[in-house]
Amino acid sequence: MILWFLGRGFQAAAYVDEYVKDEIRRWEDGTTIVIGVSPYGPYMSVRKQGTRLRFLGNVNTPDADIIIMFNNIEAALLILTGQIGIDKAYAEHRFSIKGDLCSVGMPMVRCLYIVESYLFPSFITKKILKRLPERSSCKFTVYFHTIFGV
Amino acid sequence: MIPSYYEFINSVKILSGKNALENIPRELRSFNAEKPILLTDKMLVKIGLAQTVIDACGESEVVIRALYDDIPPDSSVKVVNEITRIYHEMECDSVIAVGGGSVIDTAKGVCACISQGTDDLLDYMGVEILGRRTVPFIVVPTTAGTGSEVTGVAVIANPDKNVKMEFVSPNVLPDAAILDVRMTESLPPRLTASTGMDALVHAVEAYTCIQKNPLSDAYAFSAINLIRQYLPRAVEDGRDSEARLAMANASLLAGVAFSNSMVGIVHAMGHACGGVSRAPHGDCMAILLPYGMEYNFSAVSEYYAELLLALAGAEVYAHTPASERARKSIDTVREMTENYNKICGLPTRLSEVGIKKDDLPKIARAAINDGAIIVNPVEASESDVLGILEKVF
Repeated sequence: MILWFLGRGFQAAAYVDEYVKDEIRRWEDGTTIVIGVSPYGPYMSVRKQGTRLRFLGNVNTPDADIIIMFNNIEAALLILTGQIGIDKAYAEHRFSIKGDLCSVGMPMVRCLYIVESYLFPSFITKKILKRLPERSSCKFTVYFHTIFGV
Repeated sequence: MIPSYYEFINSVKILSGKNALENIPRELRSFNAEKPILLTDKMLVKIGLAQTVIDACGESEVVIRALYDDIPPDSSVKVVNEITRIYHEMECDSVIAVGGGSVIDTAKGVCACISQGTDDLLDYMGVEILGRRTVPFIVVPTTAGTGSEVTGVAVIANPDKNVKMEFVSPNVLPDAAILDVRMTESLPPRLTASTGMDALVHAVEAYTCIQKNPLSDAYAFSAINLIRQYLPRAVEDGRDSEARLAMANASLLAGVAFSNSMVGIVHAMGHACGGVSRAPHGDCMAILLPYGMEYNFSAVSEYYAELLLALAGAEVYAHTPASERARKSIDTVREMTENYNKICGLPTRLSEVGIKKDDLPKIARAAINDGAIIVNPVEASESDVLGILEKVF
């Protein structure tokens, strides 16, 4: 459920937020990202299609360009429920990343910071983000598109 | 401050000191290996350092089965794949790397390919993806700066895509690192200063990044202490064996520190300067360090204050009021760079290392896409990085 929310939120932010749109514009068409829990899931996948990012569902895509696997369900919950930030999780070796960090991995991390700033309440984002990112849309719009699609 | 959770690894056996090279056969024997491939570069063959290592294996059952010296300054995935093929063709059973960061990173890539049974390293790009290494692997560093002999990172270029790929895993760590002053005593003063400052940046960033922990702190602090005491001597007199050995150890200590706590914005910018403008890594590190420290000051001034003891010594630390120590640390780093500029011409501006003003936006973009930026204590956007680069240009 949380991964579904993250995937749909990412799709929504890529639809309405200018910074996320700009980052995704630079990716090759078809670029696919998987976020999951090691070793057996759950997963969620998103893929760039044209100018948009499409949520593919709670599925694994083994040949994805970037595959982020949380070490275990506890690690996944720490991050996905906003108890720790992505940077702290990286520093604590809570996940592995397969794929090209420079061209997709790091831009995706910056996008996730923005997605988190839309999806989490501000008392959480203030705790887990080193700096609150600038947003070009409002939380309501992102929530609307997360729930009802783009 | 104790982190709520951290991990630390340094599984590398260290052999440091006089005639350390002569222990290579014993180390290989402990893995039942006696047919190594020796990886190096043409310059090290030319100046005889590769031969020194071969001679050190002379009176033993170890026979260098193959020698590959065509490793370019930026290691490439094509070279890694080619060496892997040669390794299998020649039926080698171990790897010895003799060189600087590029040779060592190439060797890490080769060991990864052999261990994973693949002929294409690209399959294993990423963070903590690689499985366990199965091939005995010994490293002999020939500079005192990169610390690659003890880091769980390999940076290897992909010439087809014109990008540098990062392979981050404890499984790229070698079995043994050999620190022998014969390998570094011919380094000229300018390169000694540049590589020494690289080690200093590793230690300072390791001490201040968000992945820091008590063990990495201890390594970083010791490294800075040694650099303060011995880098001036090594620059002044390359034949000063004590200074050379101390700097080899400082580089190694800083390497262990940053392999476990990672590096930050200075390295992100430095990697980008190298990638975009081919600027020498050590020079960029020396130039960028004080500016990176300024940028992070608000978040980690407490740590900079602690580092003054290692950077400037007990006398200066004791005579500096607590509230001024952090700022004094940055001033001390700046003085070091300016001092080496006077002694051996170490550059102090990016414009002096072949970087053009037009390159700066590209460098800023590449820097925010570098993995090191994620553990920097202060968030850095493209415009923040561009601001720093313009200031230091």
